[in-house]
Amino acid sequence: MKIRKSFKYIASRPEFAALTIFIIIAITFYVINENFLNFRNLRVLFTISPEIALIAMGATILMVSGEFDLSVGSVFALSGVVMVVLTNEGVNAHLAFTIALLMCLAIGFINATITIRFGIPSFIATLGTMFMVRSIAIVIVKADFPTFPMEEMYWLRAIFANPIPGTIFRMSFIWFVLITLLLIFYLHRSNYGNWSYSTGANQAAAKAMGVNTNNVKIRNFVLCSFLAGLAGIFMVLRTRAAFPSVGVGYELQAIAASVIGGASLFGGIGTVFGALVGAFLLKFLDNGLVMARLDVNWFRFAVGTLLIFAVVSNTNLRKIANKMRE
Amino acid sequence: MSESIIKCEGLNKWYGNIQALKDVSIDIKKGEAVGLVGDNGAGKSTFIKILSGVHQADSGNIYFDGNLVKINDAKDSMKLGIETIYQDSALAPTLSIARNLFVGREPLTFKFGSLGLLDREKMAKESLEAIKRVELDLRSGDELVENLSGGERQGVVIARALYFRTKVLIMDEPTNHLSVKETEKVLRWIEKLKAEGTTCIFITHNLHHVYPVSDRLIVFARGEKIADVQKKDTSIEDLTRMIVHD
Ligand SMILES: Nc1ncnc2c1ncn2[C@@H]1O[C@H](COP(=O)(O)OP(=O)(O)OP(=O)(O)O)[C@@H](O)[C@H]1O
Ligand SMILES: [Mg+2]
Repeated sequence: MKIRKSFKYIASRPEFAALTIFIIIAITFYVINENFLNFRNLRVLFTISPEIALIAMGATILMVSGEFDLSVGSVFALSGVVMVVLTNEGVNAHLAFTIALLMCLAIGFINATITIRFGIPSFIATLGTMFMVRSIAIVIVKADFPTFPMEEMYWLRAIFANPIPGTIFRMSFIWFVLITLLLIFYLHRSNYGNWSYSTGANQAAAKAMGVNTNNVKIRNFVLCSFLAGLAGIFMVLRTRAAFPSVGVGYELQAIAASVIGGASLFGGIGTVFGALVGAFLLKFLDNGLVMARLDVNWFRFAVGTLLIFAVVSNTNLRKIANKMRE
Repeated sequence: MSESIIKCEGLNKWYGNIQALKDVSIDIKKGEAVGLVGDNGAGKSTFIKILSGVHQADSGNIYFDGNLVKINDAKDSMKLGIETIYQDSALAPTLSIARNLFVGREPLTFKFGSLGLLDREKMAKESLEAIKRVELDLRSGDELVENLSGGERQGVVIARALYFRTKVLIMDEPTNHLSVKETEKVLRWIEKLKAEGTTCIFITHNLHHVYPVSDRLIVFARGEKIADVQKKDTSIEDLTRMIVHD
């Protein structure tokens, strides 16, 4: 009985399946090339993975409440560009940082408003803003990419980007951990989280119970956009360059990470931890292929395979778990 | 017994140029079980949607506990103590029983504005007690609603109404799609709600289901109330004739 119960527990929590695959992938690449898990490469992995993980966690929370955001990749690019361009124009760097993040909140709010007010699928609404936001990012940097204001960004880099001596981590990792904990509290331990799940699972029921489902969605759209913008700023501070073309395809990677981590495209299912594992899985895979000296173009193939595998197995595991009544 | 809980006067409701309710006045007493019957499109759902705040009447008054009230949305209705169960849409299937029970009314241990930390211990404990009260054979509130049968789901909904001491419970087709055995259970729960003093209003197409548990039956036809009778003064045959012939 105990085994049965534990099996049910694991089967109904797809993030564990993702975690298992993650561990298998890490070990496999390590066996192929032991440099995969050496200090230097771990530092790379733990620098790039949190950035996509932030976006994926936002995407999952939004998906749980029944909506999508395809504009996250563009927002990822625009936030850093705005921060750098404003600073170059003479605006105080910290003010520019704040303005860039506020702008992300505004984009999230616009996504929500278009979706809710006109009753159109968020898939379409945010596909529209994806193009618009990308266009703005390219237009404001004009021809070539802007120079990075090294001096003005000194403190922002110290707070958000510099490596922590003697560790594999950068400052951004501390922020990432902190934010992850807050998101876990938000989605899994707070009443707002319960409203998000019920809105995504059955909007009419949530409404009938007095939940303001529009507010739930607005909040999650804004959160998702904010996290994408913050991730973009982390990247710009780290690389000391603001390219308007970064983050193309991140929206789909974020959705892929969410789904691999167990989120459902139909809403009402998904976890913060699952999104995190899904995102790390994708980045480890990407980097592992390089380290294994395989053609990197297999990355998309691998992601596609994983995605289909994850959805098929999640659906079936859930069915099996559901049949196992205690 | 004669104290009224919901009193409606002259309700009219138009959908474009279709009049779904015509001058409907109904006075429901505390603790009564009222069955709403009538053919398809008679206006039954429209009537309860006005009580639950989904729609607003174009004219007419609603009194709750003797006070004139305006019910603009689901929240207003819930604040008064009215809870409405629509077919298939009362619960979130991918969530646990415990989470469903408390949607919108979560017990919190800590609050910051309207954001709060769920009191999960209380949710687990009280959800188990709540489902025990309706004699559901479930060992924990952690079971997902999607794994429950239709009858068990109605049980969860009724457990919720009992738990929150709902004054008025409105049900649209509570026995729809249920097996004979499960239907019987639901009817027993309605008896239980009545015993606890909850006023019940339910819609059904099956007179044989409502008849045993109703104190009173109201017949709708083409948006009008055509009969409003105590059960003791009528019979299933009479009612059937009214529904079919009018
Ligand atoms: N949202 C709406 N928009 C337009 N017309 C509507 C709407 N809802 C109901 N109606 C119309 O109002 C009338 C009454 O409908 P209502 O749903 O109240 O009937 P009902 O008695 O619940 O029927 P049933 O037994 O089929 O559920 C019908 O003619 C219906 O077509
Ligand atoms: Mg109806």
